[in-house]
Amino acid sequence: MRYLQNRKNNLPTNNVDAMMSHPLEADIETNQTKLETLLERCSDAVFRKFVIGEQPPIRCLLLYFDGLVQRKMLDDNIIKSLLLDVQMTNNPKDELEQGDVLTAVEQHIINVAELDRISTIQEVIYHISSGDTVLLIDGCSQALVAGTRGWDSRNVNTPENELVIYGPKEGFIENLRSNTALIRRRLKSSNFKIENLVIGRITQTDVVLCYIDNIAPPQLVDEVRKRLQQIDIDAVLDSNYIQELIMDNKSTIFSQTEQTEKPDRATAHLLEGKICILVDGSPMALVLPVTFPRYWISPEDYYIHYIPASLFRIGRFLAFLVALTLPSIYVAVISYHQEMVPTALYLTIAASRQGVPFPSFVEAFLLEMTFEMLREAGLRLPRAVGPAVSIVGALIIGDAAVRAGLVSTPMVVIIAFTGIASFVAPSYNAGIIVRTVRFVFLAAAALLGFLGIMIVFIIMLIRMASLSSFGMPYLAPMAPLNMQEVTDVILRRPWFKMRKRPYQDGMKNQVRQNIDGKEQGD
Amino acid sequence: MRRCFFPLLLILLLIMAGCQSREVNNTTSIVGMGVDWEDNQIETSVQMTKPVPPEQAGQETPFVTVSTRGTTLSEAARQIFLSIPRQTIWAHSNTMFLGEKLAQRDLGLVIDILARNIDIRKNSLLFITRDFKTLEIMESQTPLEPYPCLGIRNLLEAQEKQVGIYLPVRLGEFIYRLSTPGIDPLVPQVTLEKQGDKMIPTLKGSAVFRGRKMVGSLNEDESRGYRWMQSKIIQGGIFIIPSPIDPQKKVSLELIRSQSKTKAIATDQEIRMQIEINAEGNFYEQNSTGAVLTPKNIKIMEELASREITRQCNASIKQAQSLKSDIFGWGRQVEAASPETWKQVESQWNEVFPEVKADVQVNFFIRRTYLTDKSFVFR
Repeated sequence: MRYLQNRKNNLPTNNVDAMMSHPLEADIETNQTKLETLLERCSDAVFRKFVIGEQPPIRCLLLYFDGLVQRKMLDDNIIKSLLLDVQMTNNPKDELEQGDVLTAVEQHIINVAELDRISTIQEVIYHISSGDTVLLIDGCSQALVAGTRGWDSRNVNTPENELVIYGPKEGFIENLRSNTALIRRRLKSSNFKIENLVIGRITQTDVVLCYIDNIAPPQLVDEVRKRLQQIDIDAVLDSNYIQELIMDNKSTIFSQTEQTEKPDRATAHLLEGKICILVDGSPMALVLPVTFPRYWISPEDYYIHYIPASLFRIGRFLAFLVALTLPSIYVAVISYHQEMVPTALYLTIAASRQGVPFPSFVEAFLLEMTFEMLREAGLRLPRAVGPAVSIVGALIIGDAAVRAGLVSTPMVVIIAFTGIASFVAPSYNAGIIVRTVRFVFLAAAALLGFLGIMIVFIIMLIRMASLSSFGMPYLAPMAPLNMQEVTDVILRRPWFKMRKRPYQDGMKNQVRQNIDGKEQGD
Repeated sequence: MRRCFFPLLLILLLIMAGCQSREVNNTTSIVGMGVDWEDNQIETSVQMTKPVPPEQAGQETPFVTVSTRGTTLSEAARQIFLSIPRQTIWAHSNTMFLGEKLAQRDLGLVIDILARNIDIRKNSLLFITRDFKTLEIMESQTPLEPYPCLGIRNLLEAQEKQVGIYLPVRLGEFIYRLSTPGIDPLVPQVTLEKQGDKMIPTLKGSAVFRGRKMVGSLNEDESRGYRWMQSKIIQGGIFIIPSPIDPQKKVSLELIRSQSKTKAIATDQEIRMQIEINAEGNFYEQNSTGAVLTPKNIKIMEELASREITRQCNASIKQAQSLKSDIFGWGRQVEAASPETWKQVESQWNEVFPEVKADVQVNFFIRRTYLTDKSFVFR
């Protein structure tokens, strides 16, 4: 303990914290000492010292983190310009020698697109951590920041989790700028705003707030911005951090934002007045506010003919009910309500259950757990082992367990069907909700049969109806009912009938399509 | 305390839940039930399924029929648990046999529990046995069907569409007829007939009740006549008339739909029933070889069909009147048409009913003749 205490006292923490907020000073030696103290034991920090000009020679310090900058750009556009080009042309040379050095360097010498002035130590640290290069010049109390960001990252690729057949196949990547560019390419409008925020005390993660200015309700944008600014956390590594921190109701399984990997989906939401939050380092965009029925809408629906699209949507809602309640209905039927099934089916079930040692609830629970484990294992296992596991899962669990008399065949069919149905939801979030709530239904069915299922269903509906997503009722447009919009949730409304955008509180600009020149809108 | 309140509630819910779960493994499903009178006791027979895993199916009969006796039906039924180690599920029991002996003796012995018990489905199809005990019928083997009870049930439903003789009667309707003055029950009868070396169940006749006792039967012809006089629409069935071109040969007609209207006319002297039957059918077959399908012949066939239907109706009425059993519900018609008359005759309706005159008026119409509209004419 004594050792630790001593150590603690010796650490110059206060000193370093204070140093962070110091402004830059004109003397380059002082700045360098301070920065070297701050960046001691950071082996990737590079201090490049050199001299420009002859009369008088001016000392400069170039500062960057190795690996975060485009080395070629640094060499060609900054160092080469400062050391060589300045000697060959007269004009800047004169200015260097006579006038304001900083202005001369900024305006005539460094040929980089992104160039800015900063004046505190903190800013220096932030910018070099972000991959920029900082140039300190002796005699100037400001430093120049050149945007030289460039590091290894994934290419824009097909999203791995949200697969579609029709429509764009690009997906977000971990690089924030590429992600904003993917959306900007689709929205060629000055009304598309991308506001920048920095969240995370240590990670200093760039978080951007995207919206279309004259569509998204201004009070919604203000509210989201306020909530984002209130976040005080050490790190933001993924957009889910943000999601959990800014939700209306945090202690519920029903998440109130949608995560998507697809820029076209994000854009479609932006055009409906939603807000999109992108986090640097995360390929998942957050879309909000999102209501529960909209989890079952796939962007693909709008890229195919509206009749099959409507059919698929109805199928998806049925799959939702199946995934949620089928195992519990089966358990309830065979342990309480045998009269509910046709005689022939009942006899088949009874015959197949002969010799099964467990009650149906335990049987269902075991199989559900097996399915969840297989799913989880399938995610984690290296690609080479994956197929082996699925074969083992399908054959051993499915076939051998039935033959061994551990489970009955109808139950395997039910669980497999339910498992498939739970992956029908286009939003992975929704699938997770359904798979979690399903266990509650199962337990209720085992305790009270259909009565239990009804009770849980009602509790679930009440809970969902009491939630809101950034002020939007969680079950909208079904509750409160909006007939016009329901037609575009349960069915897919054809584009030629799509006159208005979905309503949102405070939305002024609702006209989507100018049919017959009747309504004007952007 | 506050923290464990909700879990406690849940545990209480577990213990105090009203309905207990019945695992399929511990239960057996009853597919049919029979009640008979034997040795001055009520004999119940219950047919339950013996769940056989699919791999072992076909090696033995998939059902067990257990028969027990007692002074009351419930006593007899509970005796089953002395020999059957499983809980019984009655929800799938939708066939009920009543023994001929019991029916002839007194249905009052069992009808109360049949009407009162929640486990007995009121839409069970009802049969009266003929010449055999219920147990013998329930243990027989129906062709193609593994469970005799379901087999006999399907037999009745299939013949109604295809042949059109017997009308299915459900327990609820039977109880209504039994307890309502002015209408008596008529229930299809099932018997065993030898085919090859097996005794297989066959439908034969309908049991006629007077009050709560069975007093006789209608034969096939009379049952057909009863069916024609339904106020609800009946569909399906085949009947045969003489051929218009050769009295020795026959023509088959298929019924599409038929409906009858019965009206009571009560005067001081007599009560008259006017029965009007509107039926429509297809020409189905002829076994003669002449040109039978001429407009003139069709008219004649329609007339012959009307006569045949009238004959069947009259046969039915005659038999019912000789048994003094108002299976047609004419008493209800009289009450509807003339409540005062009904008040006078209600107490001795069984004596008045045989005196009631009936006028049967039939309109038959031949709609189509299937694939050939001409007949084979051989040279």
